[in-house]
Amino acid sequence: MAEKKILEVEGLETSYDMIKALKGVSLSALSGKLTCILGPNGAGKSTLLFTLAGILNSDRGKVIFDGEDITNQKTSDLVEKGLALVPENRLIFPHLTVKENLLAGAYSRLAKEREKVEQDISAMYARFPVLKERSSQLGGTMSGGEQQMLSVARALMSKPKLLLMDEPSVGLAPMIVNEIFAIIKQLNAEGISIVLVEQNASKALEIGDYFYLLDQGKQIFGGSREAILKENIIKKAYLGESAG
Amino acid sequence: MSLYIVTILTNMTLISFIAISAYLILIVGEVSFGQQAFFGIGAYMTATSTALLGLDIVVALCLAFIVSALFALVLSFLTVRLSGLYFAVASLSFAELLRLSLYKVDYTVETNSGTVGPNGPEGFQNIRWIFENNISPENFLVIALSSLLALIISLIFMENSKLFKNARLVGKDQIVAQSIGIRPFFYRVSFITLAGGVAGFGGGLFALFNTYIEPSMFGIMLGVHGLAYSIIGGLGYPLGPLIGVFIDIGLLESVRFLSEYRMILFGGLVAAILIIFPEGIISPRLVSRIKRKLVEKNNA
Amino acid sequence: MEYIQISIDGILYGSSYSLIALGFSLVFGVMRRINLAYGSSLLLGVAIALWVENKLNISIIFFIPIVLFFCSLSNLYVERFCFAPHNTKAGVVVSMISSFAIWMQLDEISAQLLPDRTHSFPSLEISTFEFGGIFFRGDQILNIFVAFIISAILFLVVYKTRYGIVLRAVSNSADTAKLMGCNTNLVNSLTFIVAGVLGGIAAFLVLSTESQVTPLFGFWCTVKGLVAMMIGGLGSLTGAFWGGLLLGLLEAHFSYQFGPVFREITTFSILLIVLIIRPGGLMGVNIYKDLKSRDERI
Repeated sequence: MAEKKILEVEGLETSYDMIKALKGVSLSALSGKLTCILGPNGAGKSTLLFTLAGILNSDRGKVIFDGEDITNQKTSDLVEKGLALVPENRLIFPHLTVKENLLAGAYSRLAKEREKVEQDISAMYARFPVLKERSSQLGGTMSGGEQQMLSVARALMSKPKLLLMDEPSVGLAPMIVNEIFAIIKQLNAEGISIVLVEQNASKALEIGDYFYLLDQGKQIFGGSREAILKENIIKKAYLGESAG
Repeated sequence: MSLYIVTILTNMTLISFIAISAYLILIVGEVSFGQQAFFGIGAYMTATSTALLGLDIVVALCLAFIVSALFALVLSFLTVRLSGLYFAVASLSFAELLRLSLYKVDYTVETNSGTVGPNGPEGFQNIRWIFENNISPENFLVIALSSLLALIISLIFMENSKLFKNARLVGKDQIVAQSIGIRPFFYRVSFITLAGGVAGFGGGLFALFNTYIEPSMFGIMLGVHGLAYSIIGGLGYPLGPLIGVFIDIGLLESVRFLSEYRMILFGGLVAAILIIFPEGIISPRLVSRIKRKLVEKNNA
Repeated sequence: MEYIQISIDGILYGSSYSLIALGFSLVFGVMRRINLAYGSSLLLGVAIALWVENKLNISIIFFIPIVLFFCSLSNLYVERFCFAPHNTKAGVVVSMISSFAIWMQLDEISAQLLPDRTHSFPSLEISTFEFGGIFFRGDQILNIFVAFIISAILFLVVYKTRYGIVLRAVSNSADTAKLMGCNTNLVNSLTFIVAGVLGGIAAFLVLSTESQVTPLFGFWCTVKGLVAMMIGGLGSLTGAFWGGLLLGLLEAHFSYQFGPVFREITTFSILLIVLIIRPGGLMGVNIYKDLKSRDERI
């Protein structure tokens, strides 16, 4: 049975600060699945996500989202089409309250659907009770784990079809990382398609459906969990430390 | 050479000192809106030493350099914790304070050639060194131009010194500089002080050439121009600031039909150049690329 | 009694500073940038409006909207030319320098439009009144009232509305706001237009109390507005209001005690002292204590 592809990337090349960071990456993500992109530091993982989210422009290649060519479109248009990025290091708005952070996440429909947005915020509070407790606290005063939850909740406020997540485990204590990954898995189980960029490969292997390996701006592997576990060379070369 | 051309060339030379002093501060990563005040201090100092105290010209210009540098040293200590926008605004207010204080400096002496000495808003009149020593405008241009050349050549030689390399690193990224053991404090203080001295030296020459100075000459617009010259010239090489001077005075002011709209054209031109070359025309990146090319050529 | 009269005059005069500082503060609050051409754009707006008024001979009712229109238009020009092209982190200082350069241009265009040293400006002709032996200038009372209303409205918009959330999100981190789908370019342009309208109101009120305009008005606006904002607190709207009044009060006393030059000397001394002791301003954050927010803010 052929599954629907929510995202297709063909031969993507992107330069970042005069250096070619992506040298022809092709991959696809299936609707409702959790696709992980792994690779060492500087492999081009974040550049890939930035290009997908419209922050960087690609030099060559094609990005198809939900059957539509979205190559080099503006971020604001992409958000409206249902693509949301949870950035690395959370990047919440530190001087806005938790609730205001969530409202900012619903930017594209803030004016049109006031009541719907309020409902969605209640739904987020139900999902992340800690955010309800902190609702009127400034975002910058929360702990790293709480900020990460806020960052995910904020991205969900735009009702995305596809959630792009950049290194959600960075700088968090192992216990918190487990919690965050449980949330990611839960979201995926509810039917949200997710593309996860992660350095912590062992954690990603626990929850992912499909895996791609990037190295020096090139995609060097793509396949299911079974396939990646079989590939011993890859494991040695790239997952050595973290897979332990 | 006609007197007109000589005057324009002299003006270009004198304002180059402000441009270079702004350039020196830009190297350590700060923007100063206050170099005009050090130019002014130097001018008053030279006027006092030659016209009131009768000192030798060399001594007078050295004093101008030292005293302005001392004022700049004060600024650098006052603003030691400030950077970016805060330093820029602080330098502006420091400069205006110095300039406004000149309105209160009143000490005149009657001589047979008239009233001499700083006289508040009336300014400092009768700086007669040029006449007393029979210096023609052409000769004065030679003096000013050779001082400027000496300054630029010594800067070019110092470019490759450790002092300048470290200072550039401080300007580019303080944290990286600190991590390899460079103390930003030392470089900031020394470059701000040096810049003050250079501006003061230029101001000294200006006072001699103009024979009359007043506080309103050293207002913010003078600083804007000096800064703009070094910014559009770029931080790559000490000749950068001169490009700005040439575009503004050499091109716009001396072409008569343009000179009426000079400020309008130049203001817009600076903004436009900053869009095309955000780091100035001779940017550090351009210089390092040219250097690399030259090395490759030599190797080949 | 004399002391009170000077204080009242100073505070009332300071209301002009507050009005100008609010526009500065709005731009700094949203973009974390300083627009040094702000005063000159207001001068240019006024100069064009006066020129139009001269040609068409219109009444004051129509004159006010024309002033506001041209002030916001010239402010938008500055935004497009000096700020929009430099919207990266490295562009903070470049855009300030660019606005510094445009300052020359706008001042010169205004000088060409207003060739005489002073031009008369329509006055609102509100009379001075006396209360308990102290004189109050009616037009300055109006200024302080308008400054208060504007800062209150801005405060409400920024902290209580959804548009304000967007503004503050852009101010917190423009890059992250972009990720939320926010068109930061549009927000910046709108901010400059609103600052232009505010500045237009300020310029009109200030000039009508003076009933004349000189080519130095641009410089005056930029310096006084900047100082009032920096005293009160960078990007703080209430700070800008109180900063202006405080500056007016101090200037009045010092210039009365030591002579007119001390009006300006006071301005710059206060600015320098505030910058050295508390660069975030009296009502802003202490940037030394809060190093993280210092990085964000510069």
